[in-house]
Amino acid sequence: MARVRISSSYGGGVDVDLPEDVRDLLASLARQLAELIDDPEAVGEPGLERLFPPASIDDPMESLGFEQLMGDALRAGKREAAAIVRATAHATHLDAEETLAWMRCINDIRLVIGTRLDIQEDTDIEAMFENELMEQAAVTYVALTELVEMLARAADPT
Amino acid sequence: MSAPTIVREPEIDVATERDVPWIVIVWNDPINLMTYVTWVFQKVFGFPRTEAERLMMDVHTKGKAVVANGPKERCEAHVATLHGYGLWATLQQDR
Repeated sequence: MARVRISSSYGGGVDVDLPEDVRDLLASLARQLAELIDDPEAVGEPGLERLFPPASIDDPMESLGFEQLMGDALRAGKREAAAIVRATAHATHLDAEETLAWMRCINDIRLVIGTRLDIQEDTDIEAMFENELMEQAAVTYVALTELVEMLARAADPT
Repeated sequence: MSAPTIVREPEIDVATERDVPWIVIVWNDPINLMTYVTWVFQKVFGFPRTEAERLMMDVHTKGKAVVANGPKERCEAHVATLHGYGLWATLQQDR
């Protein structure tokens, strides 16, 4: 990616210098994420499942209770973050709340793509660049990884 | 006439069960970045950076780490917050 810079800004926000095509891609991916969250046919799809993991490692009833208690709020939160990313995809400055939405949403998109690519600790992602079926997703995944890394370094967590 | 059977409610056991504290565990996963996980721990729990990094390294090297404990409701809220950030978190009673 050419000209990619995210730097700290006053009040917990960040200044964002990104090429237009990356911004367009982010807006498009955020829209796709929101669609995935509300797609009834995607139930059980591994990428979507990864966004809403079971709350208990070994107690399905506990996990079900948690889903009933928190599921709607979790989906609403992810929907809202995606909407903020779409609305601010071309902004040069993000306030603290918008920065948070970018981090959460871009990381969620990484989780979906990474799960579909079956990324493991020892996965050689660059080898996927040679695979016609995986190339586009792998290139996107690497670009989003760089963005999350930069956001986490630039944004103030306090 | 026989005396009525006194049925004792197992009050003590119930109280003990309820008093077992709950814990929140974050599990290692191959996608979330070390910098991001550290950032989330600082943001969600207000940990200083060094403490957040220590916990993140525990998750990374040991496969999991206990990040919070307390009443069930509070642990559920923490798990929901962590799921909101995309971390793989679960809760259980600390037996």
